[in-house]
Amino acid sequence: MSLFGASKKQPDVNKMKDEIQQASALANAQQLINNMNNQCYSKCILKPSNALSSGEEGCLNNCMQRYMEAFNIISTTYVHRMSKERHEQGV
Amino acid sequence: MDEATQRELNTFVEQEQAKAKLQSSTHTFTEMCWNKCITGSISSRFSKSEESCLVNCVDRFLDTSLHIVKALDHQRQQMQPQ
Repeated sequence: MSLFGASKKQPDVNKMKDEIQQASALANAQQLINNMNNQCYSKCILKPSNALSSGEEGCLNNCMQRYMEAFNIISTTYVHRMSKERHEQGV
Repeated sequence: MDEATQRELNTFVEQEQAKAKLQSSTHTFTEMCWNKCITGSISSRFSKSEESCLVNCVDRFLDTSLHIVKALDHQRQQMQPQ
């Protein structure tokens, strides 16, 4: 039995799972950052000048925090609603 | 890869896909509800009304989708020849 044959026969399933989970987490984070970028840009940068002002940077910092908070509020509400409906259907 | 491992991995991928779908909807809702509820300037915390607007926004959206399904089903039943 060859060395490669042996490693091929037993692929590390846990490693594969980890990789899948990491790829999914990365995609999720990228989506959040993208949306946050768009929303906070339109909220905070009303008249683009030749540099970000400190006021604009402060607004962006607040906006980032608020956007993540909004994501968490909505995620909690959505998950709660889904589990409630699943429970009602099960009855 | 043996059959049991293959099956285990399939189940795992299905679960991850379901999770990804849920996350994707959450992104969509967050954008939609942010636009609807956060209309003033951004401050260091949400007001009570912004916060409850976000919660209501998700719940009413899901109510809307249930309502539309029910209403369409109702229409379809009425159109069917007796």
